[in-house]
Amino acid sequence: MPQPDFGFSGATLGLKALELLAEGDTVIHRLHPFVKLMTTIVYVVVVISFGRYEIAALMPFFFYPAILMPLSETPCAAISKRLLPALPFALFGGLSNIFFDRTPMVIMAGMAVSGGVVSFVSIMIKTTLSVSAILLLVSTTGIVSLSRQLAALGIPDAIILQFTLTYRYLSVLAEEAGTMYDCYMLRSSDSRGIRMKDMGTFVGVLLLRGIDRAGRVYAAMKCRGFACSLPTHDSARAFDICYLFIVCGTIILLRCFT
Amino acid sequence: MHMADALLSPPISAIMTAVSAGALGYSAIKMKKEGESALDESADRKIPVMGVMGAFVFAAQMINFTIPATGSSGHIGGGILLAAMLGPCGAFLTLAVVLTIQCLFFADGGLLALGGNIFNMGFFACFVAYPLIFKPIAKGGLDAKRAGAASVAAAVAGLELGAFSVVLETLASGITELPFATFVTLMLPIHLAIGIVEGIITAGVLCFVMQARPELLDFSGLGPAPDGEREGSMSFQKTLAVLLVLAALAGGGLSLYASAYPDGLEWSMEKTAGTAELERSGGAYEIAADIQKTTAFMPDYDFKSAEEGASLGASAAGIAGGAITLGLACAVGAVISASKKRGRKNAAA
Amino acid sequence: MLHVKNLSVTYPDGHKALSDVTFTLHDGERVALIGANGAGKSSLIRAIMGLLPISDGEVAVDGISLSKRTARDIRRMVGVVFQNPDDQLFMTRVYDDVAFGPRNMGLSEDAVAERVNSALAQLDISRLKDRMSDRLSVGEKRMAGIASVLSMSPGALLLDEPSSSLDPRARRILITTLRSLPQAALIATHDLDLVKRLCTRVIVLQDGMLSAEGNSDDILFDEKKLEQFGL
Repeated sequence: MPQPDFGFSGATLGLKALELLAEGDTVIHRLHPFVKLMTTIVYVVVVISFGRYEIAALMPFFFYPAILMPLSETPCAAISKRLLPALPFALFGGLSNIFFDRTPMVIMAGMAVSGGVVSFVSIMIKTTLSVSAILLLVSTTGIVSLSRQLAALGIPDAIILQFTLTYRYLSVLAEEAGTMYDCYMLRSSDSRGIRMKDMGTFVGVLLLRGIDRAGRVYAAMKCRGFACSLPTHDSARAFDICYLFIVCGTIILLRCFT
Repeated sequence: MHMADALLSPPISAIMTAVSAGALGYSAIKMKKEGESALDESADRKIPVMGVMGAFVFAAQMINFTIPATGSSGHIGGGILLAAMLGPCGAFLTLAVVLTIQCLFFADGGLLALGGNIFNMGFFACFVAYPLIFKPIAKGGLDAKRAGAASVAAAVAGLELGAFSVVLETLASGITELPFATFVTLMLPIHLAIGIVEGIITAGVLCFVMQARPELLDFSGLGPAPDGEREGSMSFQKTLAVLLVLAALAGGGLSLYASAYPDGLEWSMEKTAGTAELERSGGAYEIAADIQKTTAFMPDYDFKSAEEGASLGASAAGIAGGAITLGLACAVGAVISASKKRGRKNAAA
Repeated sequence: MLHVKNLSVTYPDGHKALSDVTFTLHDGERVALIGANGAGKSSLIRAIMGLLPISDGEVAVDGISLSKRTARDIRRMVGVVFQNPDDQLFMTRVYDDVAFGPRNMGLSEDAVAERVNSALAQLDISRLKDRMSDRLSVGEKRMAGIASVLSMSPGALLLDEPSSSLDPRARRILITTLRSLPQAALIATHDLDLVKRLCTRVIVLQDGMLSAEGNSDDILFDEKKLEQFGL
């Protein structure tokens, strides 16, 4: 039986879990968010920039998540679980390589391995690496610090406010949707989800309720002094700067010499 | 339709990021101006609505619906619905935020690919399909039929343009080996089906909102809206849309140029041209080949260079080396983790 | 403390929510705001906080008159506990929810922590500090909602239906707690028993107008009048 409401609560639970991870207190958590943002971007850019038949040279890059995960006490499962939804598109793009690129490239144990297989593996590795890096950034920084950092980098207030609010309202809306879905299912004769003809009204009601609810939440936020401008961060410490240079330096050196 | 990082080359990502950042900046400035000129209260009311619409689209994308007669399922993109309620700029901002959250928290779409994803899923729906297709149809009164026609047409157009743009960006990056024709014949029909369903749902929601809370809608199709003013802003939007499309096309052409791996498209065409299958879809092939001829700077098809093969190590030794590195990385991780645990135990004792 | 003078509020669609409401809330005084559903209780609270445009009249707190410019100061001096605690709690942990106000005031993290702890202790819910907001019972959520306002140390509290959907025990705890707070309080409610136990004075709203004002005992024992007020 399809359960869209599971999707909602599952998603919000996932968000909450990431947010709780972000409240940890480790060396990585204490790093300045700017430093974390920059190293993540440099890392992803470098990983992506490797040629498409590259596998061996990508291997050293596994050190980054392998070191960061234990240092930040992020459970491996938290990352790998979220990796899964990212893979299908890459899989789709990658699999086609196996079919369309059949030129033998490597002879391994007497079997010819085609260029397609090599590039497929390369794509999957790159996806795994870049997605883990992004997830590690979020799970050690948290939404509030991250949006403050974005604001400090000159992203307009309107976008930042939007970012924070959308994030906040997700759970508000999921709650409403879950209740409405339950009420609908309890009164519908077949249990195969919402019928197409009811979809417009269902979604419409959900929307209006969400808007009203959001209005009240926003009012409650304003009553407690929320003014969409976020206080800025403390400036970076020497340690942060060292981390930035060492990590980015290593990553770039690795790119140059492999 | 969310593209992953691993399938896009950095130059393409950079270009798409720049294009999307430009459109975002424009939208933010426009929204801000609107907010300043509007009365304090009404501007204030739009803020939670935008936030909740973002969350709403996010949630709506999680409800999968069955696409009639195909057996597969899809979810709505929400661009047209957002535009109809928030106007193009607000909708584009909101969608961009949704995509960012999906990228950061759900690993749905890559970080470098974010610019491309925002462009594909937001730009076409908000700045092309909505002002050029939805609005003209919806103009002058919106009943259920008109709403249906406008929503379906706009949703289909937005999605198809986006899907085509995905194909172009992916192939220009040259990382996947998918031939152009195959990719197009895969992407376009499926998004046609999704677009129709999305259009119907959008129309349903819009009809509902129109009855329940018409003041929430952006477009002028209802009752006594101040016509002259609307007309003016509309033509402005048209001009803008045309300009942006031109800019996008220019960007697309440039991106073919700038790609570090221009071989993807050429290669897949050479490959597919040899097969009987593609001769049937010659039209698309020829157009693409023409674009390719005029833009590519490497006319030869010598793509699989010796260096590329060599960098793998071309032997079992290379693979063994890779495996050892991977093992080493895991070992380092395990050691750090173990020492941390011990440290905690000591601290507790 | 809080002065409302000739206050009128008209919604954009022409609906008149409040007309010509005048009353005063003195320091440390607890006043009940009663009236049938739709009489304008929530609108009054929203208008006082500057969440609704005032079409006529004046709201003043400690001599500061409410305007677009002073809204932030007013919101610091007056705390609102909304009817639905889910509207009020939106952070992951109770701690962060209670810290939301003080953080917006620009206090340092140490000062914020101090305020959060004292607000939680005042309501005897220190144990909830690290719990997730959406895992609380309705009674606990209500208390957390009040704490999220107390941490801003306001001079007056506005409570919208504080006892709705509470079980009898949670309701008793709420009443005892509210009685122990030194702040002036305006309590919008249908719970007449709570009014008897907590409030010295009663204001009755009817169709957006102030229809009676007086001692709790006088108004609450006049059944005929209560029926007339829709209570």
